[in-house]
Amino acid sequence: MKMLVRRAQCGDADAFISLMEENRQALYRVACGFFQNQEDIADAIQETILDAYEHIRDLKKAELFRTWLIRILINNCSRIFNYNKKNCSTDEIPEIESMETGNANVEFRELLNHLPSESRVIFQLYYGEQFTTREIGVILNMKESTVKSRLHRGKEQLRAELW
Amino acid sequence: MRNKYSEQELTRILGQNVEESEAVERKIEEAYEMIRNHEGLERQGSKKIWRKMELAGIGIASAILLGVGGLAANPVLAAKIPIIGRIFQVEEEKVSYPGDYSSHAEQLAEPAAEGEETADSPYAVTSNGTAITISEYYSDGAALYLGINIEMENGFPEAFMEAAKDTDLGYSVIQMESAALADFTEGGFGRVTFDPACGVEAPYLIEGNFVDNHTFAGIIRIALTDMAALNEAGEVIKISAAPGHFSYELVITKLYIPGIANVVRDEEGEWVSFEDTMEEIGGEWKFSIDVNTDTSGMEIRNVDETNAEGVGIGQVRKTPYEMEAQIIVPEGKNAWDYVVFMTDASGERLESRGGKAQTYNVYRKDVSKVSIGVCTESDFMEYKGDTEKLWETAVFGTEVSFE
Repeated sequence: MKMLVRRAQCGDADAFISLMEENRQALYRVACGFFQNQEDIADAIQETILDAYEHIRDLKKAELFRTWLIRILINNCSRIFNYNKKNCSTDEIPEIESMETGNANVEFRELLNHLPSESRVIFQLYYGEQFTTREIGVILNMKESTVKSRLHRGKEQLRAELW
Repeated sequence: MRNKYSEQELTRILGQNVEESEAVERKIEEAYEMIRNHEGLERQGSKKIWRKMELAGIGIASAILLGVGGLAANPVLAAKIPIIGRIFQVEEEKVSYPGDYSSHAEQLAEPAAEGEETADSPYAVTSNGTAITISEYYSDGAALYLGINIEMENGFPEAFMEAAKDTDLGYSVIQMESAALADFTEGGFGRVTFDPACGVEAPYLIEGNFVDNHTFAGIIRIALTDMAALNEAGEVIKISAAPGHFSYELVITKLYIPGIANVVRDEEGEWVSFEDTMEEIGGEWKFSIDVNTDTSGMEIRNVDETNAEGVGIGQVRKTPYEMEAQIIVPEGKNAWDYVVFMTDASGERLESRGGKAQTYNVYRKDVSKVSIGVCTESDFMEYKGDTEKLWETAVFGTEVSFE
Protein backbone atom coordinates (compact mmCIF):
# COMPACT_ATOMS: atom_id res chain seq x y z
CA MET A 1 0.00 0.00 0.00
CA LYS A 2 2.85 2.38 0.75
CA MET A 3 4.02 2.41 -2.86
CA LEU A 4 0.46 3.04 -4.09
CA VAL A 5 0.16 5.97 -1.68
CA ARG A 6 3.44 7.43 -2.88
CA ARG A 7 2.38 7.06 -6.51
CA ALA A 8 -0.97 8.63 -5.76
CA GLN A 9 0.81 11.51 -4.06
CA CYS A 10 2.73 12.01 -7.31
CA GLY A 11 -0.56 12.41 -9.17
CA ASP A 12 -1.12 8.85 -10.39
CA ALA A 13 -4.93 8.67 -10.63
CA ASP A 14 -4.94 4.90 -11.25
CA ALA A 15 -2.85 4.33 -8.14
CA PHE A 16 -5.28 6.45 -6.14
CA ILE A 17 -8.27 4.55 -7.49
CA SER A 18 -6.54 1.26 -6.63
CA LEU A 19 -6.13 2.55 -3.07
CA MET A 20 -9.81 3.38 -2.93
CA GLU A 21 -10.75 -0.06 -4.26
CA GLU A 22 -8.63 -1.69 -1.54
CA ASN A 23 -10.50 0.30 1.09
CA ARG A 24 -13.92 0.43 -0.53
CA GLN A 25 -15.57 -2.19 1.64
CA ALA A 26 -14.15 -0.61 4.80
CA LEU A 27 -15.63 2.75 3.80
CA TYR A 28 -19.00 1.17 3.13
CA ARG A 29 -19.14 -0.81 6.36
CA VAL A 30 -18.14 2.16 8.52
CA ALA A 31 -20.63 4.46 6.80
CA CYS A 32 -23.37 1.88 7.43
CA GLY A 33 -22.82 2.47 11.12
CA PHE A 34 -24.06 6.04 10.64
CA PHE A 35 -26.87 5.85 8.14
CA GLN A 36 -30.05 4.05 7.20
CA ASN A 37 -30.38 5.76 3.89
CA GLN A 38 -28.22 4.43 1.05
CA GLU A 39 -28.07 7.84 -0.61
CA ASP A 40 -26.51 9.31 2.54
CA ILE A 41 -23.96 6.49 2.60
CA ALA A 42 -23.22 7.09 -1.07
CA ASP A 43 -22.81 10.85 -0.57
CA ALA A 44 -20.48 10.36 2.39
CA ILE A 45 -18.28 7.90 0.50
CA GLN A 46 -18.16 10.04 -2.64
CA GLU A 47 -17.18 13.13 -0.60
CA THR A 48 -14.52 11.09 1.17
CA ILE A 49 -12.98 9.81 -2.07
CA LEU A 50 -12.80 13.29 -3.54
CA ASP A 51 -11.50 14.84 -0.31
CA ALA A 52 -8.80 12.19 -0.09
CA TYR A 53 -7.78 12.75 -3.71
CA GLU A 54 -7.57 16.47 -3.16
CA HIS A 55 -5.45 16.25 -0.03
CA ILE A 56 -3.41 13.07 -0.32
CA ARG A 57 -0.23 15.11 -0.79
CA ASP A 58 -0.69 16.42 2.72
CA LEU A 59 -0.40 12.94 4.18
CA LYS A 60 3.07 12.78 5.65
CA LYS A 61 3.36 9.07 6.45
CA ALA A 62 2.09 6.62 3.86
CA GLU A 63 1.58 3.91 6.46
CA LEU A 64 -1.04 6.08 8.15
CA PHE A 65 -3.15 6.26 4.98
CA ARG A 66 -5.94 3.97 6.14
CA THR A 67 -6.35 5.74 9.47
CA TRP A 68 -6.35 9.10 7.69
CA LEU A 69 -8.93 7.97 5.13
CA ILE A 70 -11.32 6.59 7.73
CA ARG A 71 -11.01 9.79 9.72
CA ILE A 72 -12.07 11.80 6.66
CA LEU A 73 -15.03 9.46 6.19
CA ILE A 74 -16.16 9.82 9.78
CA ASN A 75 -15.96 13.60 9.58
CA ASN A 76 -18.09 13.54 6.44
CA CYS A 77 -20.58 11.11 7.98
CA SER A 78 -20.87 13.28 11.10
CA ARG A 79 -21.42 16.36 9.01
CA ILE A 80 -24.17 14.77 6.92
CA PHE A 81 -25.74 13.17 10.00
CA ASN A 82 -25.88 16.50 11.84
CA TYR A 83 -27.30 18.22 8.78
CA ASN A 84 -30.02 15.59 8.53
CA LYS A 85 -30.70 15.91 12.25
CA LYS A 86 -31.34 19.63 11.93
CA ASN A 87 -33.55 19.13 8.92
CA CYS A 88 -35.30 15.85 9.69
CA SER A 89 -35.95 16.01 13.49
CA THR A 90 -34.54 12.61 14.34
CA ASP A 91 -32.91 12.20 17.74
CA GLU A 92 -30.70 9.22 17.15
CA ILE A 93 -29.45 6.93 14.43
CA PRO A 94 -32.50 4.89 13.41
CA GLU A 95 -32.47 1.18 12.76
CA ILE A 96 -30.72 0.24 9.60
CA GLU A 97 -33.30 -1.13 7.18
CA SER A 98 -32.78 -0.43 3.56
CA MET A 99 -29.88 -2.62 2.59
CA GLU A 100 -29.77 -5.31 -0.02
CA THR A 101 -30.88 -8.70 1.21
CA GLY A 102 -27.87 -10.98 0.95
CA ASN A 103 -27.19 -13.24 3.96
CA ALA A 104 -24.10 -11.23 4.85
CA ASN A 105 -26.12 -8.01 4.76
CA VAL A 106 -28.83 -9.44 7.00
CA GLU A 107 -26.34 -10.63 9.62
CA PHE A 108 -24.43 -7.35 9.43
CA ARG A 109 -27.58 -5.23 9.73
CA GLU A 110 -28.92 -7.33 12.60
CA LEU A 111 -25.74 -6.95 14.63
CA LEU A 112 -25.55 -3.21 14.08
CA ASN A 113 -29.17 -2.86 15.16
CA HIS A 114 -28.41 -4.60 18.44
CA LEU A 115 -25.60 -2.18 19.26
CA PRO A 116 -26.12 1.14 21.04
CA SER A 117 -25.72 3.96 18.53
CA GLU A 118 -22.64 5.46 20.22
CA SER A 119 -20.88 2.07 19.98
CA ARG A 120 -21.63 1.13 16.38
CA VAL A 121 -18.76 2.95 14.76
CA ILE A 122 -16.33 1.88 17.47
CA PHE A 123 -17.37 -1.76 17.06
CA GLN A 124 -17.02 -1.52 13.30
CA LEU A 125 -13.58 0.04 13.53
CA TYR A 126 -12.38 -2.44 16.15
CA TYR A 127 -13.86 -5.75 15.03
CA GLY A 128 -14.59 -5.08 11.39
CA GLU A 129 -11.63 -2.98 10.37
CA GLN A 130 -9.13 -4.28 12.95
CA PHE A 131 -7.97 -0.91 14.26
CA THR A 132 -6.45 -0.82 17.72
CA THR A 133 -8.20 1.10 20.49
CA ARG A 134 -5.41 3.65 20.30
CA GLU A 135 -5.93 4.18 16.57
CA ILE A 136 -9.69 4.45 17.11
CA GLY A 137 -9.06 7.12 19.74
CA VAL A 138 -7.11 9.11 17.16
CA ILE A 139 -9.73 8.59 14.44
CA LEU A 140 -12.63 9.61 16.66
CA ASN A 141 -10.68 12.23 18.60
CA MET A 142 -11.43 10.59 21.93
CA LYS A 143 -9.38 9.09 24.70
CA GLU A 144 -8.39 5.46 24.36
CA SER A 145 -10.01 4.80 27.74
CA THR A 146 -13.32 6.09 26.35
CA VAL A 147 -13.00 3.79 23.36
CA LYS A 148 -12.40 0.82 25.63
CA SER A 149 -15.31 1.65 27.90
CA ARG A 150 -17.68 2.02 24.94
CA LEU A 151 -16.54 -1.34 23.62
CA HIS A 152 -17.18 -2.83 27.01
CA ARG A 153 -20.62 -1.20 27.33
CA GLY A 154 -21.56 -2.31 23.84
CA LYS A 155 -20.69 -5.92 24.68
CA GLU A 156 -22.65 -5.68 27.94
CA GLN A 157 -25.63 -4.40 26.02
CA LEU A 158 -25.38 -7.22 23.50
CA ARG A 159 -25.34 -9.74 26.32
CA ALA A 160 -28.29 -8.07 28.03
CA GLU A 161 -30.39 -7.96 24.85
CA LEU A 162 -29.75 -11.52 23.86
CA TRP A 163 -30.19 -13.24 27.21
CA MET B 1 -30.16 -17.85 25.22
CA ARG B 2 -26.43 -18.08 24.80
CA ASN B 3 -24.73 -14.95 23.59
CA LYS B 4 -24.21 -15.65 19.91
CA TYR B 5 -21.79 -12.76 19.46
CA SER B 6 -18.45 -14.11 20.56
CA GLU B 7 -15.31 -12.11 19.79
CA GLN B 8 -14.76 -14.26 16.73
CA GLU B 9 -18.32 -13.79 15.53
CA LEU B 10 -18.11 -10.04 15.96
CA THR B 11 -14.92 -10.01 13.90
CA ARG B 12 -16.42 -12.27 11.26
CA ILE B 13 -19.72 -10.43 10.87
CA LEU B 14 -18.37 -6.90 10.99
CA GLY B 15 -15.40 -7.74 8.78
CA GLN B 16 -17.18 -9.65 6.04
CA ASN B 17 -17.85 -8.27 2.58
CA VAL B 18 -21.25 -6.60 2.39
CA GLU B 19 -23.11 -6.03 -0.84
CA GLU B 20 -23.17 -2.39 -1.86
CA SER B 21 -26.34 -0.70 -3.04
CA GLU B 22 -26.71 0.64 -6.55
CA ALA B 23 -26.64 4.22 -5.18
CA VAL B 24 -23.24 3.62 -3.58
CA GLU B 25 -21.78 1.96 -6.65
CA ARG B 26 -22.98 4.79 -8.84
CA LYS B 27 -21.57 7.55 -6.63
CA ILE B 28 -18.21 5.79 -6.33
CA GLU B 29 -17.94 5.41 -10.11
CA GLU B 30 -18.84 9.08 -10.52
CA ALA B 31 -16.01 10.04 -8.18
CA TYR B 32 -13.56 7.85 -10.10
CA GLU B 33 -14.67 9.44 -13.38
CA MET B 34 -14.11 12.92 -11.95
CA ILE B 35 -10.66 11.90 -10.79
CA ARG B 36 -9.72 10.35 -14.12
CA ASN B 37 -10.86 13.53 -15.83
CA HIS B 38 -9.04 15.62 -13.19
CA GLU B 39 -12.29 17.23 -12.13
CA GLY B 40 -11.87 16.21 -8.50
CA LEU B 41 -9.48 19.04 -7.73
CA GLU B 42 -11.81 21.68 -9.16
CA ARG B 43 -14.75 20.49 -7.12
CA GLN B 44 -14.50 23.18 -4.54
CA GLY B 45 -12.43 26.14 -3.50
CA SER B 46 -9.43 25.69 -1.32
CA LYS B 47 -10.62 27.70 1.64
CA LYS B 48 -9.10 26.29 4.74
CA ILE B 49 -9.37 27.37 8.33
CA TRP B 50 -6.32 26.62 10.42
CA ARG B 51 -6.83 26.14 14.09
CA LYS B 52 -5.26 24.27 16.91
CA MET B 53 -7.00 21.08 17.95
CA GLU B 54 -6.23 18.41 20.52
CA LEU B 55 -5.65 14.82 19.62
CA ALA B 56 -6.82 13.32 22.88
CA GLY B 57 -5.99 9.80 21.77
CA ILE B 58 -2.28 10.44 21.58
CA GLY B 59 -2.10 13.34 24.03
CA ILE B 60 -0.53 15.91 21.73
CA ALA B 61 -1.96 19.42 21.86
CA SER B 62 0.43 21.07 19.43
CA ALA B 63 3.67 20.37 17.68
CA ILE B 64 7.05 21.55 18.73
CA LEU B 65 9.50 22.03 15.91
CA LEU B 66 12.98 22.18 17.31
CA GLY B 67 16.39 22.80 16.07
CA VAL B 68 15.55 23.84 12.54
CA GLY B 69 17.90 26.15 10.72
CA GLY B 70 21.40 24.89 10.43
CA LEU B 71 23.97 22.77 12.11
CA ALA B 72 25.78 23.68 15.29
CA ALA B 73 28.69 21.64 16.58
CA ASN B 74 28.91 21.02 20.31
CA PRO B 75 32.03 19.11 21.18
CA VAL B 76 31.10 19.07 24.87
CA LEU B 77 28.00 17.03 24.20
CA ALA B 78 29.76 14.70 21.81
CA ALA B 79 32.49 14.04 24.36
CA LYS B 80 30.04 13.04 27.12
CA ILE B 81 28.94 9.49 26.37
CA PRO B 82 27.16 7.92 29.35
CA ILE B 83 25.46 4.60 28.49
CA ILE B 84 27.71 4.08 25.53
CA GLY B 85 29.03 0.60 25.02
CA ARG B 86 26.28 -1.12 26.94
CA ILE B 87 23.10 -0.10 25.16
CA PHE B 88 22.49 -3.66 23.96
CA GLN B 89 22.99 -4.92 27.48
CA VAL B 90 20.38 -2.52 28.83
CA GLU B 91 17.78 -2.60 26.05
CA GLU B 92 18.11 -5.93 24.20
CA GLU B 93 15.43 -7.80 26.15
CA LYS B 94 12.95 -4.94 26.15
CA VAL B 95 12.44 -4.25 22.43
CA SER B 96 10.17 -6.07 19.98
CA TYR B 97 13.20 -7.90 18.53
CA PRO B 98 14.86 -9.30 21.66
CA GLY B 99 18.20 -11.09 21.60
CA ASP B 100 21.52 -11.42 23.43
CA TYR B 101 23.29 -9.04 21.05
CA SER B 102 25.52 -7.76 23.84
CA SER B 103 27.26 -11.16 23.85
CA HIS B 104 28.35 -10.69 20.25
CA ALA B 105 28.41 -6.92 19.79
CA GLU B 106 31.17 -5.02 18.05
CA GLN B 107 31.98 -1.84 19.98
CA LEU B 108 32.14 1.40 18.04
CA ALA B 109 32.16 4.34 20.48
CA GLU B 110 33.96 3.77 23.77
CA PRO B 111 32.53 4.96 27.10
CA ALA B 112 34.39 7.84 28.74
CA ALA B 113 36.92 6.87 31.40
CA GLU B 114 36.03 8.24 34.82
CA GLY B 115 37.12 11.84 35.26
CA GLU B 116 38.27 12.10 31.69
CA GLU B 117 36.79 13.67 28.61
CA THR B 118 36.61 11.39 25.64
CA ALA B 119 37.95 12.52 22.29
CA ASP B 120 35.42 13.11 19.57
CA SER B 121 34.39 9.83 17.99
CA PRO B 122 33.25 9.36 14.36
CA TYR B 123 30.32 7.49 15.88
CA ALA B 124 29.22 10.46 18.00
CA VAL B 125 27.71 13.34 16.00
CA THR B 126 26.11 16.50 17.34
CA SER B 127 23.68 18.63 15.39
CA ASN B 128 21.34 21.35 16.63
CA GLY B 129 22.05 20.63 20.27
CA THR B 130 21.36 16.90 19.93
CA ALA B 131 24.12 14.30 20.09
CA ILE B 132 23.54 10.90 18.52
CA THR B 133 26.01 8.10 19.17
CA ILE B 134 26.07 4.68 17.53
CA SER B 135 27.84 2.80 20.26
CA GLU B 136 27.77 -0.81 19.13
CA TYR B 137 26.45 -3.10 16.40
CA TYR B 138 25.72 -6.72 15.70
CA SER B 139 24.86 -8.41 12.40
CA ASP B 140 23.68 -12.00 12.15
CA GLY B 141 23.02 -12.01 8.42
CA ALA B 142 19.28 -11.55 8.76
CA ALA B 143 19.48 -8.10 10.34
CA LEU B 144 21.89 -5.40 11.49
CA TYR B 145 21.30 -4.12 15.02
CA LEU B 146 22.66 -0.71 16.06
CA GLY B 147 22.83 0.52 19.64
CA ILE B 148 21.95 4.22 19.53
CA ASN B 149 22.14 6.93 22.16
CA ILE B 150 20.38 10.27 21.74
CA GLU B 151 21.22 13.11 24.08
CA MET B 152 19.56 16.53 24.02
CA GLU B 153 21.53 19.34 25.62
CA ASN B 154 18.38 21.15 26.73
CA GLY B 155 16.38 18.03 27.48
CA PHE B 156 13.63 16.36 25.47
CA PRO B 157 10.37 18.32 25.29
CA GLU B 158 7.83 16.81 27.63
CA ALA B 159 5.29 16.30 24.84
CA PHE B 160 7.93 14.46 22.80
CA MET B 161 8.72 12.11 25.68
CA GLU B 162 5.05 11.50 26.48
CA ALA B 163 4.21 10.70 22.87
CA ALA B 164 7.23 8.38 22.51
CA LYS B 165 6.24 6.49 25.66
CA ASP B 166 2.58 6.20 24.64
CA THR B 167 2.89 2.69 23.21
CA ASP B 168 1.64 0.16 25.84
CA LEU B 169 4.58 -1.96 24.66
CA GLY B 170 7.03 -1.70 27.55
CA TYR B 171 9.37 0.43 25.46
CA SER B 172 9.25 3.77 23.74
CA VAL B 173 9.37 4.40 20.01
CA ILE B 174 11.02 7.25 18.15
CA GLN B 175 10.78 7.43 14.38
CA MET B 176 13.41 8.91 12.14
CA GLU B 177 13.85 10.13 8.61
CA SER B 178 17.00 8.66 7.19
CA ALA B 179 18.77 7.47 4.10
CA ALA B 180 21.46 4.83 3.83
CA LEU B 181 24.19 3.89 1.39
CA ALA B 182 25.62 0.39 1.54
CA ASP B 183 28.54 -1.14 -0.30
CA PHE B 184 27.36 -4.64 -1.19
CA THR B 185 30.08 -5.16 -3.80
CA GLU B 186 31.21 -8.32 -2.05
CA GLY B 187 27.74 -9.75 -2.63
CA GLY B 188 27.65 -8.72 -6.27
CA PHE B 189 25.14 -5.86 -5.82
CA GLY B 190 27.56 -2.92 -5.92
CA ARG B 191 26.83 0.26 -4.01
CA VAL B 192 23.15 0.59 -3.23
CA THR B 193 20.96 3.32 -1.76
CA PHE B 194 18.03 3.17 0.61
CA ASP B 195 16.11 6.43 0.43
CA PRO B 196 12.35 7.01 0.73
CA ALA B 197 12.71 10.00 -1.60
CA CYS B 198 13.57 7.45 -4.30
CA GLY B 199 10.75 5.13 -3.33
CA VAL B 200 12.95 2.71 -1.35
CA GLU B 201 12.59 2.26 2.39
CA ALA B 202 15.37 3.29 4.77
CA PRO B 203 15.58 2.57 8.53
CA TYR B 204 12.90 4.54 10.33
CA LEU B 205 12.27 3.08 13.77
CA ILE B 206 14.17 3.27 17.06
CA GLU B 207 12.90 1.21 19.99
CA GLY B 208 14.26 1.86 23.46
CA ASN B 209 13.77 3.91 26.61
CA PHE B 210 14.52 7.28 28.13
CA VAL B 211 17.42 7.06 30.56
CA ASP B 212 16.55 10.50 31.87
CA ASN B 213 15.04 13.72 30.48
CA HIS B 214 18.13 14.30 28.36
CA THR B 215 18.97 10.82 27.15
CA PHE B 216 17.31 8.10 25.10
CA ALA B 217 18.98 4.72 24.50
CA GLY B 218 17.64 2.31 21.94
CA ILE B 219 18.21 -0.23 19.22
CA ILE B 220 17.62 0.10 15.48
CA ARG B 221 16.96 -3.12 13.58
CA ILE B 222 17.86 -3.01 9.87
CA ALA B 223 16.70 -5.96 7.75
CA LEU B 224 19.43 -7.46 5.58
CA THR B 225 17.39 -9.93 3.53
CA ASP B 226 14.81 -9.41 0.77
CA MET B 227 15.36 -5.66 0.66
CA ALA B 228 14.48 -3.25 -2.12
CA ALA B 229 17.36 -0.90 -2.96
CA LEU B 230 18.44 1.51 -5.66
CA ASN B 231 21.56 0.43 -7.54
CA GLU B 232 24.14 2.73 -9.12
CA ALA B 233 22.14 2.75 -12.36
CA GLY B 234 19.14 4.13 -10.50
CA GLU B 235 17.16 0.91 -10.84
CA VAL B 236 15.21 -0.62 -8.00
CA ILE B 237 16.65 -4.07 -7.31
CA LYS B 238 15.98 -6.78 -4.75
CA ILE B 239 18.83 -7.62 -2.37
CA SER B 240 18.35 -11.27 -1.37
CA ALA B 241 20.98 -11.08 1.38
CA ALA B 242 23.74 -8.68 2.43
CA PRO B 243 27.34 -9.92 2.03
CA GLY B 244 29.48 -11.03 4.96
CA HIS B 245 31.36 -7.76 4.99
CA PHE B 246 30.05 -4.37 3.90
CA SER B 247 30.17 -0.69 4.73
CA TYR B 248 26.96 1.02 5.80
CA GLU B 249 26.50 4.80 5.80
CA LEU B 250 23.48 6.06 7.68
CA VAL B 251 22.31 9.68 7.52
CA ILE B 252 19.59 10.68 9.98
CA THR B 253 17.85 13.99 9.29
CA LYS B 254 14.93 13.99 11.65
CA LEU B 255 13.69 12.39 14.83
CA TYR B 256 9.97 12.54 15.39
CA ILE B 257 6.85 11.07 16.90
CA PRO B 258 4.28 10.60 14.18
CA GLY B 259 0.85 12.09 14.34
CA ILE B 260 -1.58 12.20 11.52
CA ALA B 261 -1.45 14.97 8.98
CA ASN B 262 -5.04 16.03 9.16
CA VAL B 263 -6.54 18.18 6.53
CA VAL B 264 -10.16 17.33 6.95
CA ARG B 265 -13.54 18.96 6.84
CA ASP B 266 -15.23 19.77 10.09
CA GLU B 267 -18.93 19.38 10.73
CA GLU B 268 -19.66 22.74 9.15
CA GLY B 269 -17.98 21.64 5.95
CA GLU B 270 -15.00 23.92 6.39
CA TRP B 271 -11.50 22.62 5.79
CA VAL B 272 -9.53 22.61 8.99
CA SER B 273 -6.07 21.45 9.75
CA PHE B 274 -4.27 20.66 12.94
CA GLU B 275 -1.14 22.60 13.47
CA ASP B 276 1.75 20.34 12.69
CA THR B 277 0.98 17.32 14.85
CA MET B 278 4.41 15.76 14.72
CA GLU B 279 6.96 16.34 17.44
CA GLU B 280 10.20 16.84 15.54
CA ILE B 281 13.92 17.23 16.15
CA GLY B 282 15.75 18.17 12.95
CA GLY B 283 19.44 18.04 12.11
CA GLU B 284 21.99 15.95 10.22
CA TRP B 285 23.75 13.00 11.84
CA LYS B 286 25.95 10.91 9.55
CA PHE B 287 27.63 7.63 10.40
CA SER B 288 29.77 5.19 8.48
CA ILE B 289 30.08 1.67 9.86
CA ASP B 290 32.24 -1.17 8.64
CA VAL B 291 30.09 -4.26 9.23
CA ASN B 292 31.26 -7.82 9.69
CA THR B 293 28.43 -10.30 9.67
CA ASP B 294 28.36 -13.28 11.99
CA THR B 295 26.47 -16.04 10.19
CA SER B 296 27.68 -18.80 12.48
CA GLY B 297 24.23 -19.09 14.00
CA MET B 298 22.30 -19.12 10.74
CA GLU B 299 20.66 -22.36 9.62
CA ILE B 300 18.86 -22.97 6.36
CA ARG B 301 16.48 -25.76 5.45
CA ASN B 302 15.31 -26.23 1.87
CA VAL B 303 11.78 -27.58 2.23
CA ASP B 304 10.63 -26.99 -1.37
CA GLU B 305 7.26 -28.68 -1.00
CA THR B 306 3.83 -27.63 -2.24
CA ASN B 307 0.25 -28.87 -2.13
CA ALA B 308 -1.63 -30.01 -5.24
CA GLU B 309 -2.48 -26.38 -6.11
CA GLY B 310 1.16 -25.33 -6.00
CA VAL B 311 1.10 -23.45 -2.65
CA GLY B 312 3.84 -24.34 -0.20
CA ILE B 313 7.13 -23.47 1.42
CA GLY B 314 10.57 -23.09 -0.17
CA GLN B 315 13.56 -22.14 1.94
CA VAL B 316 13.38 -21.65 5.70
CA ARG B 317 16.04 -19.43 7.25
CA LYS B 318 16.70 -19.32 10.99
CA THR B 319 19.10 -17.32 13.15
CA PRO B 320 19.28 -17.50 16.95
CA TYR B 321 16.69 -14.70 16.98
CA GLU B 322 14.29 -15.04 14.08
CA MET B 323 12.90 -17.31 11.43
CA GLU B 324 11.49 -16.66 8.02
CA ALA B 325 9.93 -19.09 5.54
CA GLN B 326 9.79 -18.40 1.83
CA ILE B 327 6.31 -18.97 0.44
CA ILE B 328 5.74 -20.67 -2.92
CA VAL B 329 2.66 -19.79 -4.93
CA PRO B 330 1.66 -20.99 -8.40
CA GLU B 331 1.79 -18.71 -11.39
CA GLY B 332 -1.09 -16.28 -11.44
CA LYS B 333 -1.37 -16.17 -7.66
CA ASN B 334 0.04 -13.48 -5.37
CA ALA B 335 2.21 -14.31 -2.40
CA TRP B 336 0.42 -11.64 -0.39
CA ASP B 337 -2.87 -13.55 -0.67
CA TYR B 338 -1.36 -16.06 1.74
CA VAL B 339 0.10 -15.86 5.22
CA VAL B 340 2.76 -18.07 6.78
CA PHE B 341 2.38 -18.88 10.46
CA MET B 342 4.53 -20.96 12.77
CA THR B 343 4.32 -22.86 16.04
CA ASP B 344 7.29 -23.96 18.14
CA ALA B 345 8.06 -27.41 19.53
CA SER B 346 5.46 -26.99 22.28
CA GLY B 347 2.77 -25.90 19.82
CA GLU B 348 2.92 -22.25 20.85
CA ARG B 349 2.44 -19.69 18.05
CA LEU B 350 5.52 -17.68 17.22
CA GLU B 351 5.11 -13.91 17.19
CA SER B 352 6.21 -11.48 14.52
CA ARG B 353 9.26 -9.33 15.08
CA GLY B 354 11.07 -6.45 13.53
CA GLY B 355 8.08 -4.84 11.87
CA LYS B 356 7.83 -7.57 9.26
CA ALA B 357 4.65 -9.57 9.69
CA GLN B 358 6.12 -12.88 8.54
CA THR B 359 9.47 -12.77 10.28
CA TYR B 360 9.01 -14.68 13.51
CA ASN B 361 10.75 -14.39 16.85
CA VAL B 362 12.54 -17.56 17.99
CA TYR B 363 14.64 -16.05 20.79
CA ARG B 364 14.15 -18.06 23.99
CA LYS B 365 11.80 -20.42 22.15
CA ASP B 366 12.15 -24.17 21.73
CA VAL B 367 12.50 -24.41 17.97
CA SER B 368 14.06 -27.85 17.84
CA LYS B 369 10.97 -28.62 15.76
CA VAL B 370 8.89 -25.94 14.08
CA SER B 371 5.55 -26.46 12.38
CA ILE B 372 4.96 -24.09 9.49
CA GLY B 373 1.52 -23.51 8.02
CA VAL B 374 0.20 -21.49 5.10
CA CYS B 375 -3.33 -20.13 5.07
CA THR B 376 -5.19 -17.64 2.94
CA GLU B 377 -5.02 -14.02 3.99
CA SER B 378 -8.75 -13.90 4.68
CA ASP B 379 -8.61 -17.00 6.89
CA PHE B 380 -5.66 -15.54 8.76
CA MET B 381 -7.53 -12.28 9.43
CA GLU B 382 -10.52 -14.26 10.64
CA TYR B 383 -8.74 -16.80 12.80
CA LYS B 384 -5.47 -15.17 13.78
CA GLY B 385 -6.46 -15.37 17.44
CA ASP B 386 -7.15 -19.12 17.21
CA THR B 387 -4.13 -21.29 16.37
CA GLU B 388 -6.20 -24.48 16.24
CA LYS B 389 -8.54 -22.94 13.69
CA LEU B 390 -5.59 -21.69 11.65
CA TRP B 391 -4.27 -25.23 11.39
CA GLU B 392 -7.74 -26.48 10.42
CA THR B 393 -8.00 -24.00 7.58
CA ALA B 394 -4.34 -24.14 6.48
CA VAL B 395 -3.87 -25.00 2.82
CA PHE B 396 -0.38 -26.34 3.48
CA GLY B 397 1.62 -27.51 6.48
CA THR B 398 5.07 -28.90 7.13
CA GLU B 399 7.45 -29.58 9.99
CA VAL B 400 11.09 -28.54 10.06
CA SER B 401 13.69 -29.86 12.47
CA PHE B 402 16.57 -27.81 13.85
CA GLU B 403 17.91 -30.44 16.20
